[in-house]
Order: sequence, then structure tokens, then C-alpha cells
Amino acid sequence: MAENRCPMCSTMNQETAEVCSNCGARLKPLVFETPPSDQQEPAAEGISPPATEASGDGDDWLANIRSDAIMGSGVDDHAAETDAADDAAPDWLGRLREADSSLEEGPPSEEIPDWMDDFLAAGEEVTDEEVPEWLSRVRERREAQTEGQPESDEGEDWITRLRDDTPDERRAGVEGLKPSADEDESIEQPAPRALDPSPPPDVPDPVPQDEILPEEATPSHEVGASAPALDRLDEDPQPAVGEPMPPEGEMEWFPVPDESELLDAKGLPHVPALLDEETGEKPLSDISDLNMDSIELPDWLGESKSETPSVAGEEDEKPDLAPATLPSWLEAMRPVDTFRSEIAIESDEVQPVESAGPLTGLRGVLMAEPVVAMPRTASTAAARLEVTERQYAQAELLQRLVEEEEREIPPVRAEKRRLPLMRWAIALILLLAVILPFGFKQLGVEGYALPSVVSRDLAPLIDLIGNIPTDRPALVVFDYTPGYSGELDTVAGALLEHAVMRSLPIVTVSTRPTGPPLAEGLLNKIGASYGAVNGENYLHLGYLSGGPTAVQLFAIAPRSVVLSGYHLPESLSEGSVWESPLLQGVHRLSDFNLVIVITAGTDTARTWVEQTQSWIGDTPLVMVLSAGAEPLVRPYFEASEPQVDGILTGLPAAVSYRQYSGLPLDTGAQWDAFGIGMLAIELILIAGGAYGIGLWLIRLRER
Amino acid sequence: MPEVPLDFIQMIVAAFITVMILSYVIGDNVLFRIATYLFIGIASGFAGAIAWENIVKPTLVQPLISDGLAKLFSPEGALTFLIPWMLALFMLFKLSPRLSRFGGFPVALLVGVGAAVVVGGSITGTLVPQSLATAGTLSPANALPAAGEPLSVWLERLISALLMIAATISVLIYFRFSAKRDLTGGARRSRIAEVFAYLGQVFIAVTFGVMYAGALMATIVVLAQRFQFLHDVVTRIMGGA
Repeated sequence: MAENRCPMCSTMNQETAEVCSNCGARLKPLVFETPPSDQQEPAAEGISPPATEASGDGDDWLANIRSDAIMGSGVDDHAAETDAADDAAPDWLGRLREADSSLEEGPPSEEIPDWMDDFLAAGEEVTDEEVPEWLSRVRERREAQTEGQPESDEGEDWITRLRDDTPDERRAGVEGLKPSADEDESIEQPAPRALDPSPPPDVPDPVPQDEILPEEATPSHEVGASAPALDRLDEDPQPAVGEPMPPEGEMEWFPVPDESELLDAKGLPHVPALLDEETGEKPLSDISDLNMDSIELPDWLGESKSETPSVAGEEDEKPDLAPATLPSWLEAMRPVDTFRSEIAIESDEVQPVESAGPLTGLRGVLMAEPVVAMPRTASTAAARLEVTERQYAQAELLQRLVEEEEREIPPVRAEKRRLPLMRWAIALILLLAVILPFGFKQLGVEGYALPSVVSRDLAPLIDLIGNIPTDRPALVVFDYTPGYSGELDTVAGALLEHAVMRSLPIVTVSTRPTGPPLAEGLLNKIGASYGAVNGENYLHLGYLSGGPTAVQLFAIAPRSVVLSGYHLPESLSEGSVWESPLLQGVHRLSDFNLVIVITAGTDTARTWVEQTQSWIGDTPLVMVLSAGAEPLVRPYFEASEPQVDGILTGLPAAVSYRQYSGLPLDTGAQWDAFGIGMLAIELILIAGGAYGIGLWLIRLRER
Repeated sequence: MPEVPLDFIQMIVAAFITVMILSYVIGDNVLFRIATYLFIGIASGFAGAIAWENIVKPTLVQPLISDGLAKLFSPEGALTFLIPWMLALFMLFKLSPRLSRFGGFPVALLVGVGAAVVVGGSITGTLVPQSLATAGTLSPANALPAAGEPLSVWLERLISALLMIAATISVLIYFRFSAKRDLTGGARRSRIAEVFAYLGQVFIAVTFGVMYAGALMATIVVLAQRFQFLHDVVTRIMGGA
């Protein structure tokens, strides 16, 4: 079974298919079937074409029009067939035919309206004497005009006048054609007026046929194709079939075509076919040659066509015409910016030839590149910022912070100055608790009892200091500030006094600039009691700068770090501190017999523990600490393998050390002051706790 | 006119400054501020003098005076004398905003070396030894009673070891800030971690309480020592009179 290949999409279709099942393209070209020469002659003679052609192809209305034009109105058989074809013809054309028929026929005499009877009667009865003066002047003027014109032009130049007239004049002319008393001819001959090429009221204007047919359905060549139908109105003014021919004298106004024009009508322009059905070739060599200028159009049609834009423009300029109004919802839907109302379609010659795909070789196909490859503006969705809830919350927080910064701070009211009674009361209690014990001796009051129990940590320390060999010096690090000297001088004094009492050489160093004078003051005070001399029993290396790095360097090579001492004796003032006999044999930290670190800070204590861990060897490390630093240093002391061999903290421990090491107890008044002061603090803490609990209970009851 | 010993004058000045500091009890006043400014100024000046006397003079100036410029170009002096001089000069560039970038090298050297020393010391001196010590508290040698050891001593040692382990673990868990995120977006630790974290919080509170008590004790000792000093001054003045 043979199949037809669609020229557009190459889809195989059945042979009988008119259009492609895939793309809807027409498979069989629309070719005007020119009747054979043997059939044209009868057509010219009034033989109608086969009925099957007229009725079977309802869409071929153009063929019907042409056949009408060729055969004229005198063929009765064809009239019936055209009636059948009219059913399938476009409405406007049908109405146009109906209008032609009715107008050509003219009203029957028995159906002449009454007002026409009046006119007719008036025309017969009115005499020259009864003509009004103004009407006679009009007649005279008209006669004067007609005398200067040839008689032959009288019939056809009404169209020329229409061309020359301005729209107003034309409008006046139309009004002048109305049956009036001053136009006897129009009254007597109403039928020709009906054939006036100006479109009758019920006949659609040929120009706005675009409004009737869709724009796509009215290509330019179809206008030319429809021209014969319109041309027929001009070329075939004969009445329709069955209508009586008007008298020849009554048709003078209408240009009767001669035989040559009728013969030319046989050669009406054909509807161009895309392909010849038999040869498959393009029947018309150049479709583009078929332009509007090559087609003979009636003058009135060409005139109206050329004048249509201007007339439309004039109508636009008329202020009395209300502009077209759209419903608000429709106006809102109308695209404004993105819609291109006019699309310039290039001619086939300019459009590129498709070079790939099933449409190869065709012109005017839709190009895929603009859709696929050409740059386009980003869609709105891609440009939209996507914000998560978390980001939104952060933005809200940021905005709140900014608003908070911009807000003016209300002026702070100056609070009433209150006397610090509570602070004064606590200070008074503490001062009395500390001052009063200094008068116990004069008052004969026994002070606080000395510690009766030695702590478990103290006995090993006493044994350690008491058994340290005295052949090499002990290094004492004074790493505290003068603010802690009141506590640490008292605590460390017991340990240092024990060492000085045993004639243990002492070498001091400090990582704080204020350390060396504190060392000098304390050792001078202790040495004075035991006859210890600077340079002989103790020596000050001075300030060790560099923090932890200097501590590590000092542990590795103390001679390369410390170059000069502090308050050296005169014998060593000119030379190096390392020339002192106390430091003979000391080249590293482990060469000291004992290392004592006196500090009030946990960081300093930890630095000495950490940085000397690898180089201290078997040398014992003892910590003399402020009471507040003890909790953080004690883990080094209580470990299974302790890094700190002894720890001495606080005044009670110092008093115990003195008590159990045989040192003199010169802390009598200070011990009493410390004891009563601590008691006062404990009472204050208890009172404060009770006050807080009482307030909490009161507020709890109030709630 | 009798000669006044220098130490007596020093003692009178020290006593007066002590009273000026104690005047803060009645509030901020001029005497307290003067004493504070004096202390800061004297401490700074003394630190500068110590730095010159113990650092700059013996390491940078004295070799130049004694050995001359020849020490700068000697192989030994280039390392121990020239480089310290250059680093010190670069540090002085910090005084000028335009040349301060040249002072970045010695500062970077100080910071880098200092950080390396501190981190290394913390690992080898604190982290590893303390971890081993904590892990060893429950070893059989430490947990089991020694021969002839009283029961009370063994129980105390055992309880102390258990407390040390519990405190160490709970405090470490308290400072563990990573947690799973719940449905509301907040972080929530597991129930066990919450319990141990609360226990660690208790141990931390006890530690801070002990430190606060120690600070109070130190303060009372200092106050008593100061009043002891004032008492000695008054006694000396009264005795001298």
C-alpha cells in the first residue's frame, strides 16, 4: 500500500490522507482544477459545471465565484448549483450575494413603501411653478455643471468623484444619493443606486474581511485570490439569474464591460498551488510575482484599500469616538512589556535554509538555536533569593541589634548616694578582729592556741629540709609580687629560716622584676638572726627574663641565661656571679640540692613544674604557695609519682612548721589576729547565709 | 638635732602609705589614689632599672665596652652578640608606625618559641603525668591494702582515689561541649553525660570554694601582717619617744 510522506515532518501517511496525521500539514496541495477546454466552452455558453464539483467541494468557493463570473447570470441551471454552493461559502460572501440579488432586483412595485409613493407622486405632480426657489437654484447649478461635461463620463465618473472627494464631501455625496426631492433621477432609478459600489449597510466592507477571517487564514495571495469575487461585482453588473434586466438607458451610469473584458475574465488569476499534482513541480514560477499590483481590482476597492489607513487614522482623530474600553480584569491580563504585538516575518528568500534534520532544504522553519543556545535572561525563580528559617532568624537578630544601636539610651537618673553602711560594718568587724589581738598581751588575754596537729604533708617536708646536704646550694625562686609579701614572707620565712639555720647555701632567682628585692629583704631579715651574709651564705642571681622559655633555658644551662646577679657583694661586683664559691659545680638545674618555688600564682607554679620536668633530675622540688593557689598545685604533689616533693601553704602550716622544726615562734600576735579575723569572717559568712535564706523564705511565702 | 636612722624613715613612710591604702575602707579617696599611683610608678621604674641592670647592660652594652666592635665580627660574637643586638633594634622599630613591620620578626620569634615551649611543657609536664597518675590510682598496688596497713588508712586512700577518678572524669565531661542537635535546633547531651557534667560542676564549685577560702585566708594573713607592722611602728615610735 502506497503511502504519502509528509513534506514537513517526513511522517508516512496513508495515500488517501489529506493532511498529515502528525503535524497536520496538507499532503495534497490545493490546486485550482482548471476545467478542461471542452467544458469551458459550455460554461461560457451557460452550461454549468458538474454539480459534483460545486457541491462536492464546499471549500472551493473561489472556483464557484469564478464559474459565476464566467458563465454570467443567464444560466438557469447554474443558479441552482450556485445556491447549493452558497451554503458552503463564507457568510460575508453569501450576504454580499444576497445583497446584490436583492438590490439588483429592486423592490417590487407592489412592495414600494408608502413614502416612496409620496416621492413618486410628488415627482409626477410637481411642476416647475411649484418648485421652491432654492430647489430651482440647485437644479440650475447642476445643469450648468452637467453641460460642461461630456455625456459619456457621466456614467462612470461617480467613482472618480468618490476618489477625489474628501471624506466629508463623500459623506455629503452619499447623503445626496438618498432619495430626496431634488434628485429626480435617483427617485426614478432606485435600483442602480443600490448597485453603488459603496458598501451597502448590510454588506460587509471588503476591507475589514480580516476581521471576519483569522489573520493566519488571509495571506496576501488569498487577497488576490478573492479579488475575482470582488471583481465580479464590477465586471458582472448584470442582474442575477431570473431577474429582469434593467433598461439600457437606466444602466448608463454603470460601466458595462465589453467583450474583451469578459474574455479576460476567463483568464482570472488562479489560486497558486504549492505543487503541481501531476508533475510535482511548482506550477507558478514565482509566487512572489503575484502581488496586488498585478491584479486588477475595482477602483473602489483599490481606493478603499489605499485609503483605509488614512480613514482609520482620521477616525482615530475624531474626538467624539470613545476609545475601546476593556474590562478591568482583561486589561490586567494584557501583557505590556513582554508582548511583542508585531513580529516581523522575513520573506522566504531572506530566511535561512534548514541544513539538518528532517526539514533539510526548507526555508522558513522555526530555528531551534534561539531556544536552545541563544542567551536568555534569567528566569525570575533563579534570581529569587532563597532564605531559610535560620537565615531569616539571623537577619531578624541582626536587624534587632542595629535597631538597638540606633535607639537612644534614656538618661540614667543619678541614684541617690547611699552611705556604704554594710561595707563599713564589715570593715569595722574585720579591723576590730585583727587589731584587738595586738592588745591581748597588754590586757592579759590568752590568745589563740597554736596548732596541735601536724598535717600529713608537713612532716615529710620538714624531714626533707632537715636532711638536705649542704654541699651544694638550694635554689629559691621568688616569684611573687610585693602585694603577697605579707603572707608569703611569713610562710616562706619558716622554710628559709630552717635552711639558713642548717647553713644550707641559698641562691635566689626570680622571673619577676620585683622578685630580687623581695628576696634580698627576706634573706637579710633571716640572715641577720643567724649571721648569714650575702655572697657567703646566700646569693641573688637576680631577674630571669623570658618567662617559660627562660625557665627552661635556666634548667638546661643556667650559666648562659643569668649573666649578672643582684646586690652582689663587692668581691663579685666586677666579675660574674658564677665566680661565686656558692655556685661552684652548678652547671644545670639538677646540680642544686633543692629547688624551692615561692609563688602566689598557679601559672608560675605550673611553669616551673612543667619546664623543669626533664632537667631537674632527682633534685626535690618544694612549693611555697599562697593559700588560694594550693588547690591547683596539690595534684602535682598527691600524684602516685609526685612532681612536687613538698608543699607549704598558709599561715597555719608555717606556724606548724616552726613549731615542729624547732624554730622560734615569733608570730604570736599575727597568729591571734589571723585566728580572730578568720572567726569574724566565718561569722559574717554565716550571717550572710542566714540573711539570704531568710529573704528566700519570705519571698517564697509571699508567692 | 638627733640623727634619724634611715630605716626609721623608711618605716614611717611605709606605715603612712599603708594607712593611705587602708583608707579605701571609707571609699575611693585621694590618699588611696596617690598611694596607688606611687606603687605603680615605683614598680615600673624599679622594673626598668632591673631590666637594665640584669639584662641590657650585661648582655648588650658591657661586651661592647669591654671587647669593642671586634666582638661583633667574631664567629662567636655574631651569634651571641650581633643577633641579639639586631633583634633588639628591630623591636625598637615598633615605636614607629611606618617601621613597625620590621619589629614583627622578633615578636614572631618570641611568640612562636614561647608557644612551643608552653605547649610542649604542658604535654610532657602536666597532661601525660597527670593522666598516668589518675589512671594509676586504681591499680592493684594502690587500690589494695598494703601489708600491715590500718583499715582506716586504706579506706581513706581508696575513697580518695575514687574521688580523684570521679572528679577527673566528671570535670572532663562537663567541659565537653559537643552534643547532638535536637529538633528545636538546640544542643542536648545524653542523660548520662548530663549527670556526670552536673557532678563535675559540683567538683568545680568545691574547688573554687576552696580557692576562695584560701584567698580569704591570705587576705587575713596580709591584713594581720600589716597591722603587725603598724603595731611595730607605733611601738617603736612610742618606745623611741
